[in-house]
Amino acid sequence: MHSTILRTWIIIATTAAAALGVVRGVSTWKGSENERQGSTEMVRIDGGTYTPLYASPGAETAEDVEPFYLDRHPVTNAQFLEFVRQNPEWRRSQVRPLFADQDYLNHWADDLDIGPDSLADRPVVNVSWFSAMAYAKWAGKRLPTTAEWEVAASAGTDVRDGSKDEDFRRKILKWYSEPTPDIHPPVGSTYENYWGAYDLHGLVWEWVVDFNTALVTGESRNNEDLDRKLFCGSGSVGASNFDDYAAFIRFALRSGLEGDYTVPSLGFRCARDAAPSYES
Amino acid sequence: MTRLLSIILALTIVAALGCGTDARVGTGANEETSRDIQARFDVPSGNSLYALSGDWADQEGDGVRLVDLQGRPVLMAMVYTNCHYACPIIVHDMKRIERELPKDLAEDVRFVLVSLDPERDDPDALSRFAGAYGLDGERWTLLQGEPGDVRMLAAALGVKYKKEADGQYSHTNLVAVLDQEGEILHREIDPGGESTSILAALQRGGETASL
Repeated sequence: MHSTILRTWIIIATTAAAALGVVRGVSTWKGSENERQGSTEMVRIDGGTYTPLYASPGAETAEDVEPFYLDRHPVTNAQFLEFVRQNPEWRRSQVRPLFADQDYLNHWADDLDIGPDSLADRPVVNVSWFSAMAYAKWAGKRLPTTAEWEVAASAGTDVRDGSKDEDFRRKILKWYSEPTPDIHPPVGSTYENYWGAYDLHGLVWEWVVDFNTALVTGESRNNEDLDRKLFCGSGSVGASNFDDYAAFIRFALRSGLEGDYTVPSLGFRCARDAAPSYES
Repeated sequence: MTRLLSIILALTIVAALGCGTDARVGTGANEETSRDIQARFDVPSGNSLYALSGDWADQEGDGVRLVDLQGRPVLMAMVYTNCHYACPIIVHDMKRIERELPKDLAEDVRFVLVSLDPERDDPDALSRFAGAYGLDGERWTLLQGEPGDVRMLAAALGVKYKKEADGQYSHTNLVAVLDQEGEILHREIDPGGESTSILAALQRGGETASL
């Protein structure tokens, strides 16, 4: 009699414990995926060609961009908070000066306090390139290249290539001419482009993995010859597209950045290869 | 009986709760965080470039981590062996500084050339380059790294570089003086004949690090 009751209890107990374990395990597994990136979906950009602003004469000016995945919207304060929660060395009070300047996350109330709840879904800003790179790696992703970002951002709302759309260009320039708000609107509040990505223009500037490929010297701002003393590559390079003033602005911005810089109007979003691959 | 049962019940519940947690902080399976490095090597300062992780190879093919450069003042530049324009000039500038070093510094300073072109600049290429320029292995370290780590180091130094379609790299010609802990003391773009400030910075770097 006793052994039957005991056996029954053991069966109930182990079943309950197993169920509890499974539920905990599953929710934690999913939880860490979600916690890593909130619920950011990614959209597939089918690739394209990117014409760099400055190219060596005689070189192939158009770069092929392979298909890739891009975050639907910029990384938010809430998402970045989860990153620093799990990675204390990236908290505001602990970050290495090498990796971020003294204005890092200065719009937050504290290390682990964004401030008012309303800021949760705003794009995170005041983040350095190093911190954006670390976030992307933590999220199992990477930053987009300049070429990738520009291909994604060249899409209009209905067309794959918005570069000939004067209206679209004008809208972009209008956004660029507006002053940076103290508090940015939430992600997703500007426009959705052809690929389903939001806010590639009109919200914040965005870091790219190869921001330091943008080379500008004092001389080259005035003329097209890059000073040979300063740069190795083929002597004279010229701007390839004089029509796209917005592209100039972005190029100028990137060429003025250093890896530890934080800017109140500069955030980022992540990318991923389309084919499965292991990245260094 | 009931006590045994409650022990079994308690243990199974504890086990179930325990195996749900995932304490792994995912920064990538092979990547050390700066925190790990700090713990291992006690990298002393927040501005040290040696906080950058990464596995490099030198001109002998030996594995090097940036933190291995600790303890000696460093003159560092980023070049590549197939460079036809300014890199030879940079190396000559650094060699001239090597000759001009006062005796007490001559033993100490390490000259580090980091390749911007790790695809082509493997240890053999670096070794040939060192031979061609007469770069003494006691003082000169030439490094090949992963492209991502090269990008990181360039960003930390403030070097901008871009691979052009013809395989040449456009890049800033920058030499940096690092102190014994790997903090930048001085940076100079295209030093040319000017070596006074570089030598002064190396002198400061050679002084014993204060606590």
